[in-house]
Amino acid sequence: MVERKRLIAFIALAAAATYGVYFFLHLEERRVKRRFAALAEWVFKEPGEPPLASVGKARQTETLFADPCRFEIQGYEVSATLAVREIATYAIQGRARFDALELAFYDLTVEFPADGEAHVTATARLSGRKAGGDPVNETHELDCALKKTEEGWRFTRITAVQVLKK
Amino acid sequence: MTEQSRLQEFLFPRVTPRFLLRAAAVALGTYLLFGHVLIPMIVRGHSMDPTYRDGGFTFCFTGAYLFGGPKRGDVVAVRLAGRKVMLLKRVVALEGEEVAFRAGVLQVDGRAVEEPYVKSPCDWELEPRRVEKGCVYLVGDNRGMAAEQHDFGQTPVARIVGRPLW
Repeated sequence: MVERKRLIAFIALAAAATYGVYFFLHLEERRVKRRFAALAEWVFKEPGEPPLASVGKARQTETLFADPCRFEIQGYEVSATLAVREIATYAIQGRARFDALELAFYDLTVEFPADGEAHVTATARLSGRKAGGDPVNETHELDCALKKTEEGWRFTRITAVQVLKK
Repeated sequence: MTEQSRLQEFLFPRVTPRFLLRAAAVALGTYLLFGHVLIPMIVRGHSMDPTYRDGGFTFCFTGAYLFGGPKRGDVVAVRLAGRKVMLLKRVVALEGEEVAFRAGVLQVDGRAVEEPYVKSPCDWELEPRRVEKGCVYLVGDNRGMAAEQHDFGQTPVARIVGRPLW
């Protein structure tokens, strides 16, 4: 009986130690992933959202993006390097075109090519409704770069990958 | 053993090493089967209407192309950043073939292709283009959508995860 209790205690300790090591090894990865959760929250818009809410969200822009940040859409030859202020302006204008908006990320893979740099691939799913009532349902593969600043991780580049080339 | 005690043993089994081993084997088997061989899929969107309707359910069979590549007419699942969100499309042309749309009719190597799965009227126009090496050309079955709103084009065969089970 005592042997069994010792065995159970040993298994519990080993599991806790494994989890502890895993937790500390992936701490930075979780911080990067939290930036994606913050980005999804930043994009989120519920129906009937007051206009002032967009202004509040615009203020959060500098907590997400580096100054400047590069945006690219493969296949459409769209690319722009924008300052944080420009991103905030575009965000307010863009959000006004939608009644409801929700962004979700899946399959996030985080790599650290150099100290203070993160490279992330993810699938982004944007759903909602345009101001005219038309539904929005977009899915894209994203390739992102982030850099670590004193305030935390910031996006330096977001690229929409072309999966189907017309 | 009475009926009642057998039922009790079935519902509340004794946690023995043998039981734990069986439970672990079942959990591992389920993970391997539904995580890697038959991946459950819920259809979202209308690009494959009417073959696969929004909200429909199927499994993606990852072993479908173990012994050969996709053929023209196959419906395939294409991965984005991972397998949690995939695109469901139909292969309409293979590597090296020339694909075009003339007045809504699919043309491969200059010949019109009959597509019994397309039910909606189509007026797409697409200039001829050759499918690159290692790629296939994918289009959804719902041609009632405007070509600009429909995600289609060529993608590397390596992106194909499998095909729906039904």
